[in-house]
This record gives sequence, C-alpha cells and structure tokens, in this order.
Amino acid sequence: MGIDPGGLLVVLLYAACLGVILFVSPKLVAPAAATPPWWRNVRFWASLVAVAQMVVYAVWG
Amino acid sequence: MTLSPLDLGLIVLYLLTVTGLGLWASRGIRTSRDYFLAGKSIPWWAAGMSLVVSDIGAKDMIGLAGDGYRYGVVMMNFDFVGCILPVLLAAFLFMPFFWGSNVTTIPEYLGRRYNPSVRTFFAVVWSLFMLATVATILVSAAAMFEGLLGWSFWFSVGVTSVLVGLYTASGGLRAVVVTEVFSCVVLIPGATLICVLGIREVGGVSTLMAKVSALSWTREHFELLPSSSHPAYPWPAVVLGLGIVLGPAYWIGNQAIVQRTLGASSEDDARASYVFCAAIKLVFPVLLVLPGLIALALYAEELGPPGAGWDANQVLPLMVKRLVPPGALGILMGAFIAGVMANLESYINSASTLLVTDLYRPFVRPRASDEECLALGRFLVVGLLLGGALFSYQVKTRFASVFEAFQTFLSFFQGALFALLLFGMLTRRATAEGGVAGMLVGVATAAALTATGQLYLWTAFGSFVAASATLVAVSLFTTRKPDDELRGLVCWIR
Repeated sequence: MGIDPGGLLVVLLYAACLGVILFVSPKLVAPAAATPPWWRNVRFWASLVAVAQMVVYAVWG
Repeated sequence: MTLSPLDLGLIVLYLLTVTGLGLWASRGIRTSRDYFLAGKSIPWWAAGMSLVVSDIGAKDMIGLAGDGYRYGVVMMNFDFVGCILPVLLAAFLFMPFFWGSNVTTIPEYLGRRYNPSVRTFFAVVWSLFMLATVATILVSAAAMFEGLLGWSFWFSVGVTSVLVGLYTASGGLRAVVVTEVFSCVVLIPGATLICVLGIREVGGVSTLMAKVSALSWTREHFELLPSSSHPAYPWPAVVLGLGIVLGPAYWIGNQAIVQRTLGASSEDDARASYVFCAAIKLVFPVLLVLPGLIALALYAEELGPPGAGWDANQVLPLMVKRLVPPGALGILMGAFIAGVMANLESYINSASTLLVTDLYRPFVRPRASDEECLALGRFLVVGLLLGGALFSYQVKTRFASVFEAFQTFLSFFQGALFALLLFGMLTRRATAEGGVAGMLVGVATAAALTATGQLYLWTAFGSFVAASATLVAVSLFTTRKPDDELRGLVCWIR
C-alpha cells in the first residue's frame, strides 16, 4: 500500500510538529526543577500521539 | 420514538445530576477571576476532558454520522488533522504565550500584541458568532426533545435554557468544567454503544467494508484523503484549508477552547490538558463517523444515495430507533443531552467573558469594580441565553444545514485570525499597522471567495494567505513595537 501525496504531506506536518515538541519547545518553556519520569512527562505523551498519527497517515493516507 | 419508563428515568436522572453538579461547583465564586477563569484551579485531566466536550456537541454527533454516510472516513480528518495537530502545536508553541501574558481572552492578547482595533474587531466577531452558535445548539436540543419527548419547540428551548442558565450564571467556568467532565464520561460510552450494536448487527468489520464497497456511489468512502477531484473534500483542501488554517485557528484562537487552559492550575497542567485532549481525539472521530458507515451497510436502500434535498440528520436517529434496546436508549439519549448542554454552557460562558473583558471594561466602564464585572458576567449569561433562544427560531426556519452555515461563517474570519496569531507570536517584526491591514484584507478575501462559491476549506486557506501576505508587506514598511512592549507576547522574548 503506497503513500499518496496527501498522506505524505500530513506525515511531514506531524514530523514538523514532533520537531517543535522535542526541540523547539524546550527553548520556550521554563525548565522544570527536575526531569519528571516518562509516565509523567507531557512531552513523551505528546510525541507518542504525534507518532500514532504519522503511522495512521503513512498506512491509510 | 417510544421511551420506556427506565429510559425516561435515566434521562431525568442525568438532567438532575448535571444541574446539581453545576450548582455544587458554583460555591465560593467571589471574584471575576473565579468566575471567568475558575480561579485558575482546574486540574489537567478536567481541562482536557472539558476541551473535548466543548468541541463535540449533538450537532457533531448527528452531523458527522450523516456526513460519514455521505462522504465516508474523510470526515475523521476534522479531528485527525483539524484537531490533534493544532492541539499539540498549541500546547508547546502557543499556549506558553497566552499563559505568560496573563490574559483572560484571545482578543485581549491580540490587543496587546497589535492594537485595540484588532482586539475590538475580534471580540465583536466572536461574540456575534457565539450568539449564533447558542441559537444553533438550542435548535439541536429542541429537535431532540421534540422527537424524544414530544415537547414543542419553544418549550424545549425554554427548558434547556433554564437548566443551563441555572448553573452557568451562578458558577461560571468552574461549573462549566465540572459538568463537562461528567458529560465526557457519559458521551464516550454512549457513542461506543451505538458503534458496538451496529457492528454486531452488520456482522463484523469485514462485512461492513464489503457491503459499503459494493454500493455504486461509495468509491472513495474508505479513502482517508480522497482524490483531488472529490466534490466536497479533495485532499489538498483538507490538508491546506483544514490542517493549516481552520483547525489551528479554531483550537488556538477560539475563546471557548482556550479559556479552559487559561483556567488550569499551572502552565504544566494547561499543556498536559491539551495533550490529554489530543489523546482522547485519537479514538473519538472513529466513534462519530463509524455510525454513518454502519447505516450505509444496513439501511442504504431505505436512506438512498445522498443528493439534492437529502437530509443528513436522519441517519443517526434512524439507527437509534432500529438498533438500541430499551434501557440503553436512556444512556444514549443522556449522551446526546450531555453534548448539547456542554456545548451550550461553553459558548455562553465564553461569550460573557469576551463581552465583559474586551468590550465593557475597555469602552463602557474602564474603572468598573470586580464585583460589578462579576455581576455583569452573570447577567450576560442570562441575556445571551435569552438572545440565543429568540434567534433560535430564525435559525430553525432559515438554515437548511446548520453545520455548514457554522463552518462557512467560521471561514470568514478564521484565516485572518490565524495569520495574526501566527505572525504575532513567531516574529517581533509584525507591526500594529500590518495586523490591522492583514485582518481587513483577510476578511475581505474570505467574503469575495465565498461570493464566488468556493469550498469553505479553500476560502479559509485563501483568506489566510492574503492576510499573511498583507501583514508581512505592511510590516516591512512600518515601525515595530520595542522589545520591552513585546516581552511575554512573542517567541524568543520572554
């Protein structure tokens, strides 16, 4: 099942979003006193949601 | 539709519980900050569930099932592309600036970033839009009560207004969020129930796909991004219009949405609430669109192919009539009512906040005391419900498709709004004059494109491009604000 241009574009948009979550936002958000464990880390869960959407559009887009 | 005593009992129990919860949450409201921002005390999980329910109402449940029947899985993009993507960006890119600037409303932020004209323009436009939305939601509620209980239109509108007004007027945002959390808990099992019953009736997912694909007019019903020749949702319009403009503008610039996160107990809670909302939205679109496909597999001969004059709103009620057993019907109707009430209270509370913060305080009584603003906020809730109720009959009689009217009106100003927010936050170079020019050109472009009959997704995109180009061009030739004035409002200057 090949990926169509529309699906590819959405995957790229989510990849850019992932870039913002992982690399841009740490520079904008005040650093926490201590790094939370993964299950309390908002950035981890947000990345997971973004990756889930990339998979959805890579497979069905 | 005949209701068993059990169903009726469940519906009455739901109405009493939600009203009681709302009134309970109204205790201890002393300042306008308590009223409009819940005293900044909302935990992340409550704000997240509240975000979901503020977006999804009865019109979405009925409308998306109907459009799922008509267009198929492409409708899931309204959440997959139009919600999850902007919500994640809002959490990590935009929200820190709303939070850091300590504003109560989005127009207030725009006013500080650009100038008071921009603030006033968007405050007026959003207030009018919210009044029209209140009327629309009251029409949806009345349609449900008329069909379910045989109540007249005006009696249904009156009962809904009084119940919602009771706790929204007294409790403000806190009461709204508490009742929305309860509504979310009811909505999810209600929507799941209809899908499970439908799939069981069809005989499984593979049978469903085979039956739908066998129809002559469902060629692209299982295409998440249909071809560029699709009559309503070609993929370029979905990705550019919905994903890049309408979705972000709605989730980042809509006061009814952003107010929940501004009321969160900390910046981290606000961010977590957005992510929690995005996680819930991974499954919600499936629950909302799947009933349309199930109806195609079960009742295509009866409902027929969609064409001129075809009523999309008949799909879900027909499924409920045929599939849902007594007892379960009460739960399902509870879910519908949950959607209506949560949607209604969100918009009333936010419209009241906008009117007090962006119009009354700056223009009518700049020295108004906090008590006066609190009292006015409560009075406006009643006034907005009354105005919405009076306007609802016009909506009922004049608009054939309320959902499309809602989207079309949004596309008039969302492109310009998003351009101003985007450039306003990402660059210090955007000037006040550029903001005003971008706003005017964006709205004019949307009006012109609508007049020429463009799809509303293209209208939104065209308006965004025109507003952005104008904002950039004018900003290049005008003087920007000094960094001190932009601190906390723009990326990189905190």
